[in-house]
Amino acid sequence: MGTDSDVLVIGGGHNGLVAATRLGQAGKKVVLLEKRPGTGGLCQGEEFHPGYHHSGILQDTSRFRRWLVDDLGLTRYGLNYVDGPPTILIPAADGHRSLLLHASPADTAGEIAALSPRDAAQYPEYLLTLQRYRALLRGLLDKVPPDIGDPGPADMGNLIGKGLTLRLLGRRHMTELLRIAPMCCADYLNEWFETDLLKAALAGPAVFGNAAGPWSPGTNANLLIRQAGVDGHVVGGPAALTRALEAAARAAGVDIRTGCRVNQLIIDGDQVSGLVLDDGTELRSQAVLSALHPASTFPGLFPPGQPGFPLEHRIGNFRSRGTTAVMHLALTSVPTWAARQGAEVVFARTCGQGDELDGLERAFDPVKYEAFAEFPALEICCRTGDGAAPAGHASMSVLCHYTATNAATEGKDRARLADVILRTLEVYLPGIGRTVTGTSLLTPSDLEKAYGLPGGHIHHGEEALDQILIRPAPEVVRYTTPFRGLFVCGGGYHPGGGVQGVSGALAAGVVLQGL
Amino acid sequence: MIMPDAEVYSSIKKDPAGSETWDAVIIGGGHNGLVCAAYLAKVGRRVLVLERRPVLGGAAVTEEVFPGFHFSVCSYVVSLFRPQIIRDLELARHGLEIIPLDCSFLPLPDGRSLARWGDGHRTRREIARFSARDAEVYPEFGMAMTRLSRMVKAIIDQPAPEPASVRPKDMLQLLRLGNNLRQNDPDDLYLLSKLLTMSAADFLDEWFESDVLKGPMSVSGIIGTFLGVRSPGTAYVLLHHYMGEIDGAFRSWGFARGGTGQISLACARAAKSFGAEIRTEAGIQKILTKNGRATGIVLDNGDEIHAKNVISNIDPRATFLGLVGRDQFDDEFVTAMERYKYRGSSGKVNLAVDRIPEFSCRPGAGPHLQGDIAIAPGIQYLEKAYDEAKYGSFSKRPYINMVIPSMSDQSVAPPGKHIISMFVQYAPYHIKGGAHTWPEHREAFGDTVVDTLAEYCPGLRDSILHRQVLTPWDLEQDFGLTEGNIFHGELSMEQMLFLRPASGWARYSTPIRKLWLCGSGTHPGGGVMGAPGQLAAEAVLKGGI
Repeated sequence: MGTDSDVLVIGGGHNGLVAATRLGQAGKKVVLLEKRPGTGGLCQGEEFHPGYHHSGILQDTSRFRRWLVDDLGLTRYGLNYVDGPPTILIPAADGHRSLLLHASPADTAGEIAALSPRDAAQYPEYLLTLQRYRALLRGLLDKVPPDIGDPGPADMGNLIGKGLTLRLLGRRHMTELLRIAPMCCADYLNEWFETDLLKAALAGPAVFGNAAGPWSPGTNANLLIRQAGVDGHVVGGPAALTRALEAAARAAGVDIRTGCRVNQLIIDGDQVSGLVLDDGTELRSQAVLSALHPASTFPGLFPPGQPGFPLEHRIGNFRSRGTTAVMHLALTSVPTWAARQGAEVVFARTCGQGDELDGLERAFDPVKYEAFAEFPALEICCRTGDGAAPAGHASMSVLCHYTATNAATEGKDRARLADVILRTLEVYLPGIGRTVTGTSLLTPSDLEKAYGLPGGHIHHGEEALDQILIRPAPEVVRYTTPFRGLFVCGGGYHPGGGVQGVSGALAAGVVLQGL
Repeated sequence: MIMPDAEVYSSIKKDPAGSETWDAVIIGGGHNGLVCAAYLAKVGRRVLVLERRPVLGGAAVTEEVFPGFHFSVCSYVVSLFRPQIIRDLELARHGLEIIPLDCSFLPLPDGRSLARWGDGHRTRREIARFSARDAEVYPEFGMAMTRLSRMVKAIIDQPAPEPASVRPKDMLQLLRLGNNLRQNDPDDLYLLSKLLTMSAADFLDEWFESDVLKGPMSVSGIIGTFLGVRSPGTAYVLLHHYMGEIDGAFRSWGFARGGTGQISLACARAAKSFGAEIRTEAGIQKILTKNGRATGIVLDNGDEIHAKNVISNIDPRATFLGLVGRDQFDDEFVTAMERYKYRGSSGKVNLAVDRIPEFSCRPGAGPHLQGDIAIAPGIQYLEKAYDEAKYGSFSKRPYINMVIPSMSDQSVAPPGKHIISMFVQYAPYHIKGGAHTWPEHREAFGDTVVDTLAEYCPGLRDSILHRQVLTPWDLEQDFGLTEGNIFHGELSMEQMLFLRPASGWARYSTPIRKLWLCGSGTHPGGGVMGAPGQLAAEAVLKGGI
């Protein structure tokens, strides 16, 4: 039987695009299928109000790997990639204190000094400590996980290599890593710092997106992993990354078909040989790579009645109930930060009530009871130039932590959630309410519908220790599946969610080996 | 012929120490200290146990708090006491008798209830009233947990593996453990990886649908820990309920006849029978060191006792920073001890009552009251209790685990009267206003507990003759449990195995030569297990005395 292509990639988010580009660059004939009208998924920029564009649901591109930018040659396709994370403003709710977290440790320490000289002295030491584990963690994050269940010689080599890297840290640092990784980030940050605002600021990335607060055990692993993943960032945000990836994919000969929804796979026994689109079109290929949420593949892409056990049962247990709502705001003027007047701020992050770890924890508590935070912690991205908004206006995107999947699904609750977000913004940006001309609110259940994310989790699944170590199930951690010809990647697989691109790149390598 | 309690005490020498030198002096007569003493004395070592209180047992103690009412004041049930210790020390001959708990009873506020029995069929019928599916899964869950228990059991019966050590022996132990694990079904390994990292609530969600079942099952993961049932890492303790079963010696949960203190007294009798000496009302003010080596102790009254080894049954921070002094250690070790987390989260309320409490959901003094009774009506209830405590208040509606030992053991209460022993969580040591303000909250805390239980037993208040309330502050002040932590330090992932109590010092030895730890602040941790005491004795003997 003839094939229409070598590889069919399902899902045009950043991981799907990365994989397709890599495969195309390797000379494979690739078709990329995206059900939405444009590519990018959570990294797609859109006009949410006439004249106002956001730069993606996700905001942070600092973990998109430098080696991937080089590997795919993305700068040739218009990508402006800058070393180090972008500067982030941490405003306090009191309207006075604030911190700018800079890419440069010395600059950040200078900011911290205004709050606590002791913490300022600690900060470079803290970064150095995290830095110590970076090579080891990157070795784990940026490689296909070893097969622990049934290790072959290569896996054993890999495992022994990992063990050696761990031991090379030396006894002291090795046991220290084993001590701190399963901790809650609150305890760890308390070991280092005294300033509540600083601790809360540093805890945010370790917990946001997940059903976890700073007092949840295991969140320190996220803190370490996030820090290890940081390379640089994309100017223009996720939307700019998507544009470059799409251009690179097309240049590599990838046939990108948007508005194209996959109905199911074509399976014969345990061999996948193609797929059927919603309009009935059959596409044949040597390999299918699904970049969808694990549950959208298992059992989502399987014909009804096709046995997926035990995978289906396991994926059914994969926790991916979202905790983040998104709001885009069209503003008629550039907002002013009470705590940092006159500063030009693109990224900001707030810390909940009281600007302390407990404030984040209190924002987290309600999701356990299917509700949303009354004083949420916000990740804010405010853009003015590059057509984001009309001249003198601004386009603002807010990630609201925490909102339970089943909260704010009805009209009245939605209005109240929108109100809570606006009221919270007003604390840091007094008067912002008067400048709002349009908003767009997406609760986790909206994200589920709009982006095909079961549960509406922005990381494609909870990033807790158990789901970090084996993500999402033992049979599919290495991007292969129990079905020949079917491969998987995306945020629901190693090394997890966020704008990393690693999963797509590694999966493409595995597909190439399998072809 | 069992030595009477009185004799254990009467033979205790009150006289000041002589000039003789002991092979080992043990600080603290808790169950681990006594186990350690017995093992050392058994092989002919001259051992002296010193206990600050007038009674032995530490937190495994039974006291006549009110005339005729004998309360197991702190620890009230036995779970994982190591069967080999019972055999080695012939504790049965020394008076230890375990009465198994045959039932776990859960009353619900809406008039329903769930009793889980030793008899599997009966349990399934009970569960089926809430969920037919759960009733079917329940035995399957039990079998899976038993398989996993077998996999990890090796870990609690040997010193903690040392992943960073390059000593051939330690590496061999690691390899052996790893190899043993690899012999298992990959599905079970996967399950184990989840069990070690997940929250109890999430783990149970994968198996069961009924909150009525998940509530009381999840609580084993939070007992004594300042975590909620939704906190990752709490699933692992679910295993403890199944571990006892495979020991084959007795059921996993039970009372000691006469109270938990009888475990300690049986250990004391064993120790004495081997020639150990035990002194009560002998508090220690200082551990003597010379050139980085422990040489003895100074009693509260100033007397010095010299010994070749000093073994501390009290918790790590109190031992090192309290009795030795921080100037004897390097900064890194001092920091590790300062970071070692206690923050007790529970209290005890003990009631003397004039009748058996009657639960409106299942009236009568039936066998459902002879086991443990949990006030844990659902995951949300438990998590809310935790959420309140996180910010420094005791739970307004706490998790309670209670037993009525007088129903199966008439020796502990006057005829017709009963005692109720309640473990209550959460009661954070670091309460708003500071731990020292706990005495001001003590009665309010007691009222909260009684009010909570009275919602299920309307006649409770009228039946109360006496009430003893122990806050975490009281546990610290009265029993020497630092920050009121019943396990001598949190049993969280970063304080277990080779990290308990500090990296590099998890093998009972300490930075001070000839100073050893033998309490719950060492591997494998808290609970009335006896394992730390036994393993410490082995380490001391290997150290050559």
